Amino acid sequence: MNTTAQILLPTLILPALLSFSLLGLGRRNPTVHKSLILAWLPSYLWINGVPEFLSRDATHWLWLVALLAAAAAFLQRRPPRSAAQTAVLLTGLLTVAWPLAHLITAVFLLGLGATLLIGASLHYFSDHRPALPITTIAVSLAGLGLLSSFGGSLLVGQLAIALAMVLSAFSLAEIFRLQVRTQFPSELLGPFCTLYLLLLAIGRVYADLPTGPVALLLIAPTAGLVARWRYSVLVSATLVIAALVWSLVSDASATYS
Amino acid sequence: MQTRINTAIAGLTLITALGAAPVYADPAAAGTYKIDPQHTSVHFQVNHLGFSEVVGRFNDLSGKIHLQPDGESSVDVEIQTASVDTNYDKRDDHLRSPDFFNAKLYPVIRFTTEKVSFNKNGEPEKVTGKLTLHGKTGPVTLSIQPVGAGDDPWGGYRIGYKATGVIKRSDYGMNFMQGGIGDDIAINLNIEAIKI
Repeated sequence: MNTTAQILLPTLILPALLSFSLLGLGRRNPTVHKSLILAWLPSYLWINGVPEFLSRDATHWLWLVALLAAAAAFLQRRPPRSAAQTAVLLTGLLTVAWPLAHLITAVFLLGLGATLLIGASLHYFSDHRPALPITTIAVSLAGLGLLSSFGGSLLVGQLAIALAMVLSAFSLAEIFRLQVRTQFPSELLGPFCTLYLLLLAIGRVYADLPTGPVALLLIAPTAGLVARWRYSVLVSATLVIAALVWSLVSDASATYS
Repeated sequence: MQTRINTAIAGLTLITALGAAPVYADPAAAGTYKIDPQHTSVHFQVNHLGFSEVVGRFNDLSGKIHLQPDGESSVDVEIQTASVDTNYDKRDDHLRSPDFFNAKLYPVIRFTTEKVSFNKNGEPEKVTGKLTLHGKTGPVTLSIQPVGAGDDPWGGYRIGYKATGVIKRSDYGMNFMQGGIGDDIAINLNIEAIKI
């Protein structure tokens, strides 16, 4: 298989196909949508390789985080559900941080704290404001994918774009369904928010993604909490574009291949 | 008179040359040596997309060599992963990332000896040992070619070797972009060490 196919198949084509398949299955049984994250796992295994058990490498734990977050999405009552999603995020952040415990600084802790706070807010408000659009998460994921692919880790970039592809299929459906005034259950967003924030943390901590653009990407999905649907996507996209431009301007040699 | 001057110049030239140059091909003296990082290099070579071989090096390393042809010898080397240098900053950043060396998580590459084999002249010809890379430890065999050994101009005693070997990065869990980036990594070391 040539290199282009090796990149495109697991990053774009496979997750889109699996996502549309689950979308089709979900028409008969909407519960299927809650396990949407499963459409990402084959891409994860393809890109990352078979994860090692008890690895110190945080990317080797993402499959477990995805499954735990998907399990939390099945909780019926809202407060336990958002608390469970936040607990999964906290566990994931600890897997990112503990191997570097000897390097932890106040700034490092501040970044982790901000990530946890934003994650908890997204989980809480997505349970209480069903209007939180999945498009803002998809746009943020795509932005992280591009930023990391060009400026840090292609692995993190590919994992983020594969996640964005899974959501994009549903996002298209959401746009269609909004026209008929229905929406997807917000609880399916939990695993995506958690994985997005973990990939962002891994990219910042291990691939040295630049602080400023990462901060913009961190707040990009929160646009869905403060603005109405159409504006929130616009705000989120603006923040993502600003992050990418910032990264490109500060690093003129970003065309490495 | 002219003959005496010529003889004196020839004598001075010979003395200077003997003083400055190491005595090559002498079997290394037994003892413990500290690797001289300023005259030691670790290069690696890997295939890029099937088009070419990319060469890189590590700029920060340290280590010791203990030579005892009739006893137990050892070579221990530590390389700082973040010092990877392929003459292109962006590629070096990528190599430090989780895609390849994951330098934050695995900051040191370590080689420790299990056995040093000597030829009939008492010079090391093969080193087998354990390489710890990317959090995994695996066996490695390096072929050794002596370059020189002898007194240096500053009163010390130096030895020098070339070492070559091949490892598979997949053996060390470094699997990203297999196919695009070659699995076989050729290693070339030029080692100079000072007796301590």
